[in-house]
Amino acid sequence: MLPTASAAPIELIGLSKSFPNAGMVVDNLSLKVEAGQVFGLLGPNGAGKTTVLRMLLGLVHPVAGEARLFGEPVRAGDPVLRRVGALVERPAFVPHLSGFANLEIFWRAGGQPLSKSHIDDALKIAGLGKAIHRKVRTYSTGMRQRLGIAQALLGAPDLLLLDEPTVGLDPEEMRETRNLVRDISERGATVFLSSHILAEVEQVCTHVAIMDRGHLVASGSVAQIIGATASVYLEVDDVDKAVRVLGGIAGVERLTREPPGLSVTLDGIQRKELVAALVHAGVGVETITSRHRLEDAFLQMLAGEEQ
Amino acid sequence: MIVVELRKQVWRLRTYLALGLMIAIPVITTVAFKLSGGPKERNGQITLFDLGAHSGLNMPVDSLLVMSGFLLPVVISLFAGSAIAEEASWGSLRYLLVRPVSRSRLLAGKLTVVAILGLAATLLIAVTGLVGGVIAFGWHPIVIPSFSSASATIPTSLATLSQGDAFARLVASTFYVAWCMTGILAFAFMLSTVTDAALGAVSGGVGLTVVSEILDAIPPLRTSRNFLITHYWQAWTDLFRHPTVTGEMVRGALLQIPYVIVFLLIAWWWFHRKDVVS
Repeated sequence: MLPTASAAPIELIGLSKSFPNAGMVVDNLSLKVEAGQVFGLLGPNGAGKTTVLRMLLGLVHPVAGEARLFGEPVRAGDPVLRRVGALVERPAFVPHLSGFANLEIFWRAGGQPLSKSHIDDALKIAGLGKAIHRKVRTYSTGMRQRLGIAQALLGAPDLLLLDEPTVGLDPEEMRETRNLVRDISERGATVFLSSHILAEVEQVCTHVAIMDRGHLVASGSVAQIIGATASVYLEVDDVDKAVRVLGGIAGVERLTREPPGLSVTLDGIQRKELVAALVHAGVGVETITSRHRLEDAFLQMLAGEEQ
Repeated sequence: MIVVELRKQVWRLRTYLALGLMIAIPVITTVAFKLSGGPKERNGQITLFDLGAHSGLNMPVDSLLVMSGFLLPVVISLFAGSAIAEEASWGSLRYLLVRPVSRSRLLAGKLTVVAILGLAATLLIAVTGLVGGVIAFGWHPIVIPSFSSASATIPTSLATLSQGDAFARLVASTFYVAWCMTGILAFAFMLSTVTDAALGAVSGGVGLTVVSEILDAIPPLRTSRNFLITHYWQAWTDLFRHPTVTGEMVRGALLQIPYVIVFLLIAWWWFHRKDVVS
């Protein structure tokens, strides 16, 4: 298939991968990431997220299916990789060279002089000051992480692949990284990131896919994913009566006692209707808290997979 | 790619130490000969090694004799065995491979740098031996053992070679020694693509050298020893005997070719199908 100008930055078609001692780690995964999206890949440990990223970069060979970047099937060393920046698993460098030398050799390995890179922007992002000329073996985890992100951005890529980009960063650095991802997206680049920190994904991603044990559980916009499993937490003066009242209302999918209140999974009913029904039945509502969080959606979807 | 790889390898303490050893041993050998006061006989026989103090040109010959059997292959194994495996253990290999560079080109770049370092190590031995030898013993015609015939193994007298002739033979010997290292280099390089443990790949190169030399010392193996990777390593010393013979050198040079081809083909095949998960 010939690439087109409008080809999706990422397309996975029935992608599968197995390892001799681990079995099938990615199983028939199909996914499309459109230009400009900030796409979060979620899943518990062992879900296959990093393997997907590695297959996208040609580091790991799929046993079936195909990964495409900008419409081109991914092969190791393809010119299309020039459009991609990546931070895979953890940043890694030649330890006896300085941060600056590492950026330089990384870039020059691609056959271009450093003057063709966005080294000034990258150095600003790394924010290492004079430490950029220190040997990398002296860097802290956070410094390495920032240098890794800077390295991924050296080519001002059209597609940025980030694997757990905030691991090892302090809260301030995590916030900066989130802002950086937003900035990159606003400049028109597509970002594909995996993360365990669901609140973080909810803050920066426009779209998500949830994986579990190699399978795709769900994918869509963050709003769709959250909306599909919206829930609220209620504190009422009579929990037993509230359970009876809500149990008889259409649009309440599930009720779970979570002392001192209860959690209610909604399926089409509005929160105000819920409160009205309780008040009408004489149940005092003390608090109602929206739990339309990605974390809830994530956990519920994984629980659904288990069943 | 070659410049990038050279930068990684040259600017590091390990390389300095390894190459420093290639300088230190010839210096120590020269000093030892100087202090010991000239040629010695062993049971009435003169060997090439014992003639070191006759001329400065004898010292690089002695240095190559001392180093080429074990220490040089260790250093070559160190360079070749760590070329890929060390990057894999650092994790930086995956970042090299996400650049728009084919795995073949990456492999070729790394192999070239390993070959450059290996050649540099061999040249350092000869050059240091020569410089040290000339300073200590002067630039004189070289003294070599003389044999009654081409097939004789016990020298009967001494012969001399002019400085120019000796220097030309020294250059040929140095490149022969370097060429003989290519089989071990290719083997350690192949292991480096297979494992992420650089020490394992380096040990593999050293191990092959040791096993081959042990097998080569077992006479009942007869002609099968001729196929051992180390069998003809010392054949260059035939250039420093009278009459000169070159048959074993030619066989030794040719023997490395199938080893190099097989080991590098396996390295290439493995590296292309390898899943980089480190």
